[in-house]
Amino acid sequence: MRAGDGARRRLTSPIFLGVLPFAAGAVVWTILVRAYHISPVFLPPLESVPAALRSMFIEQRVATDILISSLRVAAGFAVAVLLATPLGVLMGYSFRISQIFEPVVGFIRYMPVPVFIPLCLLWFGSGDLEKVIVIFLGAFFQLTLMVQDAAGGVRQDFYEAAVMLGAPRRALIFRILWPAALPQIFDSYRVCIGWAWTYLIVAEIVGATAGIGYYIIKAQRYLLVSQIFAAMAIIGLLGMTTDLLFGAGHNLLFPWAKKKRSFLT
Amino acid sequence: MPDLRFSRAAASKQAIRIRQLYKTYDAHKEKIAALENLSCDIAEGEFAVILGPSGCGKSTLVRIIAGLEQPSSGTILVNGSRDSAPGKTCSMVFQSYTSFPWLSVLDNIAFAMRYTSTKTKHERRTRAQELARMVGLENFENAWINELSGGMKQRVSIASALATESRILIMDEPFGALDSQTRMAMQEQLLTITEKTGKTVVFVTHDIEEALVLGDRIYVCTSRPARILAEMDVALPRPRTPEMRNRKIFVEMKYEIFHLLRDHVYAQILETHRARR
Repeated sequence: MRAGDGARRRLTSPIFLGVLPFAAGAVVWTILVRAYHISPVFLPPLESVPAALRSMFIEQRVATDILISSLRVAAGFAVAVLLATPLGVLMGYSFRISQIFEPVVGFIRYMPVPVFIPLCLLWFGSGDLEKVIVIFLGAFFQLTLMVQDAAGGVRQDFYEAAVMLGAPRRALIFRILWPAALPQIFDSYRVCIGWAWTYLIVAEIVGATAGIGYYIIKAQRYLLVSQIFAAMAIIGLLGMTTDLLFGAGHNLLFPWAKKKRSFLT
Repeated sequence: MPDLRFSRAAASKQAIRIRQLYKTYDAHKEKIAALENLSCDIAEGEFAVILGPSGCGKSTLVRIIAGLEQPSSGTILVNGSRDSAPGKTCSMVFQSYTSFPWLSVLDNIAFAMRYTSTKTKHERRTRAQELARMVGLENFENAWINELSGGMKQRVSIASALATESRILIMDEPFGALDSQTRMAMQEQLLTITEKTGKTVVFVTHDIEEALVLGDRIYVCTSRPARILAEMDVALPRPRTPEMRNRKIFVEMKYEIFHLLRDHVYAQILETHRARR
């Protein structure tokens, strides 16, 4: 082994590569603040963000808001998954069923989530229920079509092969369609939960009394800009963690359909 | 035990009897005839090869035998029965690799037994291991399908089909996607297996040499719509070996069949071109 090999390996290690854009962002940020003397009201110095983060956790109990937001996302997303999965599977399996539901799902799917918020506030108030319903409405219709796509994309010759091996028609959904489509369905969940976070933050910014989105709008009101950035960092970290968990879950649940390596695995 | 299958094939009754079979498809505005007045008999225990130009309707014929498609008219008796529910009388190996990637090799082989046998779970597993050994996959029982090469995937498919214990094995160009060396090896292995199990095999191919190496009897098809152009017995003894390709009779039959088919191959090329436009 040559002397340069170790250093080269360190320079191409996944963690180093992944951190690189963050570091570049930090450098640009610092240059902007230092060289152009931008007012902290618009862009606070980078080092004020960790400080804000600390005071948020210690003095303002932001952990509770994180928990509340996470539970809202989890609840809304879970309901969407529980309803969209069977409907999407049936739509993918049966052309008739897809003919019934596809127009209405496609119709609602194109409505941006914020248009649901005024009605939901009117009908369900500004509490947890309204947030869960907004997330559900945002996720359900998209997810249904994604699951339908996954279920409908199962190779037809798998069904023929199964039938020739003696499987009765009624066994095809559970023995062929479901296991064949599940990795892609799982990927749809992964994409969809990211959207669910977006919908939640929008709902919390428009009208809420707790949660990270509420926290951001509160910080903006008092011009605590470094807290806004800190809250954004929290959202980013939560999203990245969720995504990593889904990625690891994919490889764990579907060893036969392993993905390209993600940066932890 | 030379020639055992051959004599049995000659002596015994029909496994498949096809009379005046027609099949037409509706394609956009016109009707496309895939089979036209096709009749033939396949004897029990026979290795029957359906040979014809690419796209001539051979696959349609075996899919009808399998029960995956219905004929437009005509009769077809499989084991003396008109009931053609798929999976009841025939098993099938497809050209596309149809083993299930979410199951291990062994679970793929055992898949059919859940539906077709009364064995206990343990007996099914033992039988699946037996079949894995028969196709030379004993060291890959726990492998995933996507980790296997094309030839190994087809061995899984063959073992899965054998697990159904049906008397008739349909193979629709099973080695069509394999490279020529792998194909020769697979032909050799298939010969060993079928000579051992004595199943009726209906094997579709467009490869004349493959037909001669494997078949007891070759059913030569015309260009689309397919009819039987000629039936030929392959007078080569069993067990077959790869070296039989050098025999005079092998070479003679090869060119005899080619001359028979030549015009139909050209006709089929034009027909396929016409249908695509």
